[in-house]
Amino acid sequence: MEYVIKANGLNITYGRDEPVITDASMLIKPQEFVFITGKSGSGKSTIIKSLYGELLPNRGDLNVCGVDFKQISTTRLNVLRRYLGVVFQDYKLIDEWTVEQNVMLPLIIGGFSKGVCVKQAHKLLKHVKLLHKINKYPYELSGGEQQRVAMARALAHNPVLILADEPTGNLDSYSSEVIWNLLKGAKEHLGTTVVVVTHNIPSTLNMDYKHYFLEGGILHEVH
Amino acid sequence: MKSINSHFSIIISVFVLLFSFQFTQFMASVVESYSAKIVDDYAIILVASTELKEDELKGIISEVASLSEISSKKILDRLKNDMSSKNLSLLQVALPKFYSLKLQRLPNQQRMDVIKQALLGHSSITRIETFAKTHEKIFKMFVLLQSMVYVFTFFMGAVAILLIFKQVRIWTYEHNRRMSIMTLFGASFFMKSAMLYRMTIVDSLISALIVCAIYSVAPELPIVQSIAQDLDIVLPEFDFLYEGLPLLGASLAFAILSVSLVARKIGRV
Repeated sequence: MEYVIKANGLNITYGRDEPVITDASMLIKPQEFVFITGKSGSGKSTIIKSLYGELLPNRGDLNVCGVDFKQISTTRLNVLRRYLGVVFQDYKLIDEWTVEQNVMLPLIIGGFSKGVCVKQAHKLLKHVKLLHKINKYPYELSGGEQQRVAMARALAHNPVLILADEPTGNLDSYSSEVIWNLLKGAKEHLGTTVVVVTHNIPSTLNMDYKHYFLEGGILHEVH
Repeated sequence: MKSINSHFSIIISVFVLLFSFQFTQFMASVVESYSAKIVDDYAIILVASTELKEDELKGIISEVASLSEISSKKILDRLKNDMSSKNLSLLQVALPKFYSLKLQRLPNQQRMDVIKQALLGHSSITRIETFAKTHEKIFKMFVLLQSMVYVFTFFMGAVAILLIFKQVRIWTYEHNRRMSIMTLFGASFFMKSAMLYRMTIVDSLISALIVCAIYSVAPELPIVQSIAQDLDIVLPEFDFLYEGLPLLGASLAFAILSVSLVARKIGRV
């Protein structure tokens, strides 16, 4: 696979409103670390949503992990999503499930045995320093802890591509550092492609990355 | 408490649905056994100038079960003291033959008229007594009763189905957030709806077991048996294999169908 993400001339709207994204194009190779930045309301989250199929483009070509989004079926979209690790701005943890169960979600969907799910969940919760809160429920955790759980869940099934929407927004410096280290580690040790939407690129990040700036519904490659 | 109530709404609805359905089977069985009893007691009386053959009548009327001659010996014995033996012999020769004709099932009035005409068309038969009026009344009462049970079951079933669909819809909305998160991670419809299926299936099976228990125990109760005796009806025994298992199967199928229809319609993310 030459490109993990290949987008050309994307046009995305919410309902009948004016398009948020008018003409976005990007090429992302395997193992690249990519930042998408832009002002508030510029459509950064919209771009991420289109990459995991929550929003489908009206026009343009989009290909993620070899899957063409033109007339994509529900089954095919489900299969694609099993290879993605998504970190949402609002965490999207299941309230009635424990921390351990939340982390195991992609593994359960992937059809792994219970033993494998538990082992992997414990390993990742140790990484995000939340092993002691394994039986807690999301509402018993702080915002930073919830985001670390969401991060562990996104990494649980060793995804091909991680899509993170403002993963450190409103987090304390400790939680932010844990999250950036995990994303960096995923790229360096697992060869995962990482796409992060954020306001600010952390200055302490010591690695090569690609940078797109979103303005006026158009993606500009900066770096 | 709210959760228990929501379970009750499925349990009660499926119970009503299955109970009504089983009641139609129960009524059909009672009516069938009662009508068999009437058929057994019922006979058409034929008066014929010559001897009649059963096979001959079967050729004319398909419902013929049996034909038996009614002996005139009793009448003649009664007249023995009042008549001379010569006259008695003459009477015996002149007396027509009486037959009791039994049918396999109770015909309706229309069919009874056809049977009567067909029998009168036979050259030897001179008179027929069908006791049609008494028989017709009972038959019509049965048909009416059975029809009422079917109509009642239909309406009860329709209301129960609407209630089940409504509860599954509520559950789907309650679990919508979890289901949509699972969708974002690529869960199939059946995986994200597994909990809805589990709840509906368990509640439906509980209902089916309650219905089975009621229909097994109720006919054994002294008060029910006493009513049945007064009405001269035979209560059918509940057969778990032929009635219980289909009820369990129906409840299972209904649970799966209702979740598949409702959750698929509103659970799209």
